[in-house]
Amino acid sequence: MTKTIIIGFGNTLRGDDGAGVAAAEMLAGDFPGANVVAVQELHPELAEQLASCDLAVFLDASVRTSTLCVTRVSPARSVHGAEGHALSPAGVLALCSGLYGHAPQEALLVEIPASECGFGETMSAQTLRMTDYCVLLISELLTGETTAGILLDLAPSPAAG
Amino acid sequence: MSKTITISPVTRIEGHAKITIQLDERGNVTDARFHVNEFRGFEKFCEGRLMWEMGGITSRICGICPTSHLITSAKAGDDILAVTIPETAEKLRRLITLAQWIQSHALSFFHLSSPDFLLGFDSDPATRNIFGLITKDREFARRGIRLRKFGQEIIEVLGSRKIHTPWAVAGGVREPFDAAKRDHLLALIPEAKETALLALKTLKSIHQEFAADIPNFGSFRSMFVGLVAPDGALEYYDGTIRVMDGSGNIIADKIDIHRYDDYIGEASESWSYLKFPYYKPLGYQKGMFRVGPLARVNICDYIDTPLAEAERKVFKAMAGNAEAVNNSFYYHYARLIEILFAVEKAEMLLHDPAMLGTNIRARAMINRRLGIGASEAPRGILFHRYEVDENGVLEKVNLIIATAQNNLAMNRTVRQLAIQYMDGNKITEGILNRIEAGIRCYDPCLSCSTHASGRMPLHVQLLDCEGTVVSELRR
Repeated sequence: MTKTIIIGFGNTLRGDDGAGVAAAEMLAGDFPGANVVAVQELHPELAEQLASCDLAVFLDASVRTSTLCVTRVSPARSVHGAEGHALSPAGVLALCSGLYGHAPQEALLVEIPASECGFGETMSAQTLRMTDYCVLLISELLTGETTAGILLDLAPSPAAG
Repeated sequence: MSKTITISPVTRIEGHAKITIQLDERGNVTDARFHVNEFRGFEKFCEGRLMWEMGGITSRICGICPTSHLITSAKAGDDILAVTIPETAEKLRRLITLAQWIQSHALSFFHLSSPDFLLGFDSDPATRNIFGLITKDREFARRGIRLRKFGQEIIEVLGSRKIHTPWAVAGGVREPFDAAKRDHLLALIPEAKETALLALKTLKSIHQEFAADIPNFGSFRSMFVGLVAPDGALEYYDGTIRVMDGSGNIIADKIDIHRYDDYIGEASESWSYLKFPYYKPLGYQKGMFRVGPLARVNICDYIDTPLAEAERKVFKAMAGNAEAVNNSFYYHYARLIEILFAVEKAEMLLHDPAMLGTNIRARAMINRRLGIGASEAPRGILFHRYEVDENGVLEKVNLIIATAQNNLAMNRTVRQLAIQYMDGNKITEGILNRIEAGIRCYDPCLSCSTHASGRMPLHVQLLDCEGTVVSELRR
């Protein structure tokens, strides 16, 4: 059975930027036994949790896309994004790979469109809708109704979007 | 024609900064400056907010040491309420402060500084990083990550989240502790202690390899400022202010934190957003002092945990016991002693039955119009000073952050390194590495100290006497 970790990250005090965290918290509520993590930022210790998983899904808000965007993430080849306390998904995967000799076989980044990232704990209507859609898709992934491959086909890349 | 070299951004520290090195007509270093070029203005925009919100707001200054801001803010709040918080609440706050030290110091040593020590200052910068460290000694790197995780685990167990927990409040803490959580944390102590000892052993074993460089890493006499317990022990949460000079003389002691303003002034320079705190009795520049691990281990009379106290004695013996250890390179050594102390002390606290008490919060209205909180953040003493109206609305805020207090010393260190290593008008990787490493001794957190955001890459510029950039190096 595929061991999956869902990691939602972002700043819930900056409006839409908290979409990844909101999605993860909803998933944690719906799937109490699932390996779902909601964090402000990606930190080095996550490498250990990732090492025991086959599939990692990062949920993050993004101003680069206007629709839900799913892309494959590979471990970073350079130190960029892997130093300090706040890492990128590629950076934390690289740390995982370096420290434990392997990373999840598949890692996805789900970008939830964000437009209003000012101070405040309220998300815009569009980001709320996309967050719900993200939760739906990841729920299907957790229940086996969909696969990582299907998710990758579902949403256009940022360039296409 | 004189010239200035600029290093910007500086890497493997938290925040944004650059370094400029000024040369005279003959190519000799005349000055070097560490510029911090970000600004967020927390002190100003907090005005008008309720003092109850300050823990949540000020902890957002930083992703590394939010807990230190939270605790110090809560202490300023205690002062405004005019309450003595319950014993359990104080001990729980002490535990989370130790956890903050462990996670921050572990990141500084293993993740940011170890690559310099284990791979060497002259190794390829492309690999002199955490990945190079993993290649060199994967188990050491793993242990470092796990040690930081241990600190984060304590914070999460107490505060329900690793970063920006809202757990401490004016009057105490929000949630009590329980036996299951205690047992979970106690089970993690042995590995944490073992890793702290391993790190100390590693640093001491490679120390001689840097014998030629160490004398240039901020080796100068300065004052040292920090909190000590009433009996002179190393303190991290409470206590009074002690000031020691570079010769090891205690020149001011048992200063109530409410009088910090009598002793610590803040100067500004047009070329940096980072203020320049100084020891007021000696005035700006002459009043340079250092805070943080080097200061704390220097100024205390003893450490009340056995393993850390044994290391402190070795540390002090380096300078002949009477003299303060004046070389900033030994911030790393002091930082590791403090990790060991924090793990030992956390174990002691976890065995204390008072930790499981349920009386965790004193409640009161606004009873004072001024509140001051101080604690020892990982990088040094941290002050929060709030003036409020009768409803607790903030009228004035002053935050004095550890990294800023080291600003004069960091500039002095950069100047010392530039003078020692600059040869002619060209910046080499070797020079760049050493200057970065010199700053890294202080583990500066520029997000905190300017209350500014971001990370800190390295940018060095060489300027001539007319201010023209003649050489530049970025990383």
